[in-house]
Amino acid sequence: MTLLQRSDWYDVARDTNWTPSFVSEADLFPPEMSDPFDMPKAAWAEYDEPYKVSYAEYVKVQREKDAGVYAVNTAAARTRFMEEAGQRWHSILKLHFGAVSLAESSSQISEGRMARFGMAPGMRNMATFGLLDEIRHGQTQLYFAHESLKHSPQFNFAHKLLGTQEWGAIMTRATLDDVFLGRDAVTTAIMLTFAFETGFTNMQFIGLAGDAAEAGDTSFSNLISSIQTDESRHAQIGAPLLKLMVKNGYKDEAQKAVDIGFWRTYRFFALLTGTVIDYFMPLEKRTSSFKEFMEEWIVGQFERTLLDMGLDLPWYWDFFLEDIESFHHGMHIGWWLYRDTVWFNVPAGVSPAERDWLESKYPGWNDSWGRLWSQIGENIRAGRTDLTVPKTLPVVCSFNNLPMVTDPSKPWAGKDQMLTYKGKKYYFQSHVEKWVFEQDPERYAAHQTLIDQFLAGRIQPPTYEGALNYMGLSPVERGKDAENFAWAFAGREPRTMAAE
Amino acid sequence: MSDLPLLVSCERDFLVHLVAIPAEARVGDLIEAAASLVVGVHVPDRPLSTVHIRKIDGDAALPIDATVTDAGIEAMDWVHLFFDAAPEGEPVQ
Ligand SMILES: [Fe+2]
Ligand SMILES: [Fe+2]
Repeated sequence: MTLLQRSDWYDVARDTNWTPSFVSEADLFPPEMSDPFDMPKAAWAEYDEPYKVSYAEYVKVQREKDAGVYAVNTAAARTRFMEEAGQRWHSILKLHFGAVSLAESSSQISEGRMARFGMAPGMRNMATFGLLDEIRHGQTQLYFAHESLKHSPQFNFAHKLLGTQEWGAIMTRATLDDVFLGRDAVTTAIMLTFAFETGFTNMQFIGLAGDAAEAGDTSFSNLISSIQTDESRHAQIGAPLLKLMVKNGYKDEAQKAVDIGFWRTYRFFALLTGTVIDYFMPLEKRTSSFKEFMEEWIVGQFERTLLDMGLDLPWYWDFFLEDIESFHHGMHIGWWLYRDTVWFNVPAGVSPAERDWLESKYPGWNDSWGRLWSQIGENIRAGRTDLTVPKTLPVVCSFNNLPMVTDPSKPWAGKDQMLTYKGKKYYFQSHVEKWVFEQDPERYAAHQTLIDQFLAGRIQPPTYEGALNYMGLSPVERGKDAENFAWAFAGREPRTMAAE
Repeated sequence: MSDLPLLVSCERDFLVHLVAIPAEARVGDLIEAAASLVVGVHVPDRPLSTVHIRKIDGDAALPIDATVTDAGIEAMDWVHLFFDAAPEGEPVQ
């Protein structure tokens, strides 16, 4: 007997919608979990997933992918590479594993939501595979991080971070809860798979795999490429949904979800990727600046995808294009100054040659961000490293939980950054965060940022050291200057080096 | 009396610090406490007499001898340090 081609049976076999008789349709698919817009069945029937995979095919391919990832990871070669790789690459890995492993793992919940509550069978199929993908992503990355523990206890944060009150953990949880875990199946598909995965992570993983190959880290490069092939499949859950929403008169609802999801995840992305591309990567290994990467891979691609689908660019698009030139510089200097509060050693990335590179990629950098680094460098050379250690916490955005920053040669937006809601003052990184907050204030108003927790008296003693302990950072886990301040002396007369 | 938590930014700097100050402290004390986090730290050192403070959404310098309460500063207000105009021109922020 000959086996049928997949195309001969797939459409019939996947069509698992039926009319429930034991419960009502609304109990089976409650709108707050499934489709809050109550789109007609005929509209949902148009959902056509671009990837058609059977379970047997999926398992076969995934098995091969896993074999590839673990086979290349011959323990001895990996250990040798890690011993020779510089501090900067170690920092990139620690940052990546801490920020990404359990975050990916938690998106099982998002995929599970779409797999159970999606109204289209094709969506449920794709999300079922997506759920299995995210189990794999969590497990493989934790495995690699665990294998790296022998090189530094800071790798422990791959597993530990999201259970702490470290400020990046508070930020990550708030972001995940809002856009990935705490939404109905429709909004999850738009915010997670379209805005974040199609918009950002797909390209980011391609870039990161390339950087890893460039740095000689073959096994990490393979790992990331392998994950990316899964992401590029399940990232396509959202597109057919958006198409049917636009066609059936739900464009405004779709657009709003895109605008919110894209902005919130952009901040997360800029923090992780902008700093790595422009400051962490060793100068000789850099291929492009963050701005160039964004313009070439993210902006152009996302603009085309949106317009092709009949959607508009988000209303804040011009501001976004300016923001990619400044926000991540602020995050980076913030990381370096508050390096005690992170689980990796932070390279300053501002040696004279790197400053020239930054100035060429961001004309005016020396007169804005560079001025701050000049002062910091002077203090270090004068033996005043104590001045590089913060005395107080930075104020974080009430919405995105990241320190509020501005280009130091540009004014703050003042009124556009603040709001009083039910007697409490809220402050925002920009008018876009404020706009998102205003769309659903009850959703966000009770969130406790690190600053709120500090003011509520939960950090004891109420000092900077007290805050470090509250964040779960033991002294061996806290970040240091990745190069022991050598950058501040580069190109100058040899002097006694400051020690940290 | 408990301390007033405030948001403080500073001309030519890039972030907002959380600063707690007793409500009965003078504006001059607030300037001193806030400047110690930035002046000579992120921006070049300069005499305190050239550092002033205003509300982030106001233009007028607050009187240095008034108490912070009399100057109209409340808990979780955002205030901004600024400098005497440099010879080369206007303050940048
Ligand atoms: Fe993933
Ligand atoms: Fe994913």
